Amino acid sequence: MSQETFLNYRRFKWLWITAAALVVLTIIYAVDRPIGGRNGGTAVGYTYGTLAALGIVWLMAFGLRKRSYRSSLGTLEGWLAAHVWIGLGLLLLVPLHSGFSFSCNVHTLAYLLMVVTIVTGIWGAANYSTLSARISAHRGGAKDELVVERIQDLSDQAEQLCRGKSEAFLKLYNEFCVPFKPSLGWILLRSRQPKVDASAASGMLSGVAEGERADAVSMIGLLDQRLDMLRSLAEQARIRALLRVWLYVHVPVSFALCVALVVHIFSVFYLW
Amino acid sequence: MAFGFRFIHEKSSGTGASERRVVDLQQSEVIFGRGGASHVLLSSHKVGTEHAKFFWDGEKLLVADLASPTGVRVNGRLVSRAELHDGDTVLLGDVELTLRLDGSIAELTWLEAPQASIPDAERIASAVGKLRVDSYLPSIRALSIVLVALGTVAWLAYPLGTSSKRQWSSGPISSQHKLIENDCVKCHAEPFKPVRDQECQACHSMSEHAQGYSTFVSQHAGLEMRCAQCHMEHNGDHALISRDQRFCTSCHAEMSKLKPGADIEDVSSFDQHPQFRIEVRDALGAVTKVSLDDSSRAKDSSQIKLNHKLHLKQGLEGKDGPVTLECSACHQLDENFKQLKPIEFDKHCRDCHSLGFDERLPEAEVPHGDSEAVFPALFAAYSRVVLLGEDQSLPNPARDMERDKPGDLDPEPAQIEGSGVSAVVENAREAERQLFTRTGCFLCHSYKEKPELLQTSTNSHYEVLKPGVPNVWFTAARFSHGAHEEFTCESCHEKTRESTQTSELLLPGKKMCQDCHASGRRQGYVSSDCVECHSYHDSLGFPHEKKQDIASYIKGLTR
Repeated sequence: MSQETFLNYRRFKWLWITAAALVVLTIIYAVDRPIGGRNGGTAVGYTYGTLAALGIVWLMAFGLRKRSYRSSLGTLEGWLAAHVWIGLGLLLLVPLHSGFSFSCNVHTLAYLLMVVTIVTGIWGAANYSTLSARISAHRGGAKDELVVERIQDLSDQAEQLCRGKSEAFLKLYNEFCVPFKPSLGWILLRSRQPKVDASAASGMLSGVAEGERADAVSMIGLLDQRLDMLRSLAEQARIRALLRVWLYVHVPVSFALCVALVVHIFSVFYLW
Repeated sequence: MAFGFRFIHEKSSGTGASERRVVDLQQSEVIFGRGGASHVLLSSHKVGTEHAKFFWDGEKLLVADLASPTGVRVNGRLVSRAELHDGDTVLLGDVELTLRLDGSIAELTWLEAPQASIPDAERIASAVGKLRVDSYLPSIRALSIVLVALGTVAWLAYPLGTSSKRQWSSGPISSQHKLIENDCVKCHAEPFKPVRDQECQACHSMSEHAQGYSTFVSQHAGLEMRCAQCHMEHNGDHALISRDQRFCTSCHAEMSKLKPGADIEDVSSFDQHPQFRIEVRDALGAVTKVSLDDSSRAKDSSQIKLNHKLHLKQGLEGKDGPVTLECSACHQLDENFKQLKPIEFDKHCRDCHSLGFDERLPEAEVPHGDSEAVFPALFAAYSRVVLLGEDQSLPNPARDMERDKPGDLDPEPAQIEGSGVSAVVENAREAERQLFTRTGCFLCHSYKEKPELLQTSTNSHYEVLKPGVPNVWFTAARFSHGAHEEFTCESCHEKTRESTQTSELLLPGKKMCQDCHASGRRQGYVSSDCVECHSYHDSLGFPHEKKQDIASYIKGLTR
């Protein structure tokens, strides 16, 4: 039995609440046959539109709730669970509001912005549920500062071994001592993580003179250890970036959605 | 050509002022280090006594590590000996030299930062900072503020400030209104107010639905009755003229409750439609609606005598021999292929039915259509014979064409007796009486003798009762005969061949329609809602005072 997370909070309480509400709302939608066809302007349309707008306002309020540490309005975990499942429910509630009519206008724009917000939210939630357990700091791993310092130590030690060595030895050092240059690509893309061409390196080792061989092996040992640490640093950075980068779309687009929602409501009554 | 080195050391203090030292060496080999035999001295504890040698071998510039404690790096790579190119950076310990190779001069510049060596803690913190994705992106807050600002301008301020509100359109406009699509105010005259009828009526003119409409609206103040409630725009083409029968049945399903005593039957759908009703005129001319099922009252009250059975008999005696009439001999579709044209005596009857009145005056006929014209015509005809002495026995083409029964002798026409005006009047009155009460008119028409008070010496003493044949029987509905052309007349008007009396109604009832038409979407049936046969209001066309110049109208449009 896995532990409780924000998704399965209280045995998927909010999933069931949302699903049950959607079933009821869909049945009402299907039974209702308004004169002139289903659209946002019927009784059901107005009701669902109001529900969806209130839902969006409440989902936005999560940004406030998560910052107010002294709040007594339910646990943050409960809020997050409701945020996720009710947010997902809006994907269906809003089309039910509009009678599934979409067009090239500010109203459909509001829906599209909502979809973008929800889809990035799904991505973020998926990242949290699959990646958060792999953050080493959560498992008592070393902090980044210590790891960086250790990496520097290792390359310093390896450098010491290079003193007065032949060209072939230095070549070996340069091959193994992959530079530590973090960038956005280094963080986000697995393919950009530090690596060594192992077969080329072993070829180079055989090119090192007999007398330097022992130092070369211990240098490679040091640099190998350094490479491992670099890799795990990059992987940790990638995981933390994935847990963060979706918010760069989710939050700004949700604010844009709020503007579009206000314009949607305003323009509908402006051009009644 | 002699090779030379130039070493530039720039040291900037924290306040922005800088110190500059230039060393020029006209030699092809230079040693950099902290002391010893070094030509260029670098004051850093991370630089060896004699750290590295730069030299020109006649073709290229090279650097060699002189067994230094911290090594030599060229562009980040640790080397013992390497060739150098313009723009390379060479790191000796913590001294970073930038090379500019210009012909025979190698210029090596050391830009010393205020604090020559960055403390480890700071360096590590910067490296760790670069591991966070946030350090590469603008803040979420800034992004949100920018998007909110852009959205407010683009979606709210811009449409509000200009006439271009198309992005606010709630859906595709109907093709009929495409012309004014960009002119929102043509319909949405006032912001935050529903579309008013007067905007519709600026272009369209419609009859009211029923006479009671205005009183109905005034009595139900809360009940909105606007054009736009039924004619829903911005739903594409399908909703502008909606066929949803609930627009009608929401009231008409319970009209007996809503308008008791108004003689309007309840209809909830075509399947539940009551039997069709016709208008029947009583002796006093009062009109009542009678169901076709009410066989005792549902009669054709037209004042015309028509025997369908007789007219459809095979081999009738025609002008040019025997003829067999089909329905279409008299009943013809109008130019729009919808209604039937009215029966006209001249077109449909005259070929067989002559309006002659005296066999002694075979060429003379009375006019059709106006009973007041009958006596004057008779008077004129007899005057010509009696007063002017026209010889009625002269050969006359009209008389010669007259049909004779086979075997009949052509009798010599009898002479008209008498003379003077009294003889004319006498003959004319007698002919009039015969025409109205026995022959000519009487064959088809009912007549009425005028009261004596109204009888003068010059007018007709009889009048033909108006036939009153309805052009359309079901006045509240539309029926297109043209749309049903594939069927024979008798498939609907079933008993026509047996009908001998005008009073016998030959109209099909609703059962006939329901063989093909059904409400809703029943398979195998024509889906028939209210507007299949009924219209809510009639278009009155475009009132003359509202007509405008199309050129200026189009110029006034926003496109």
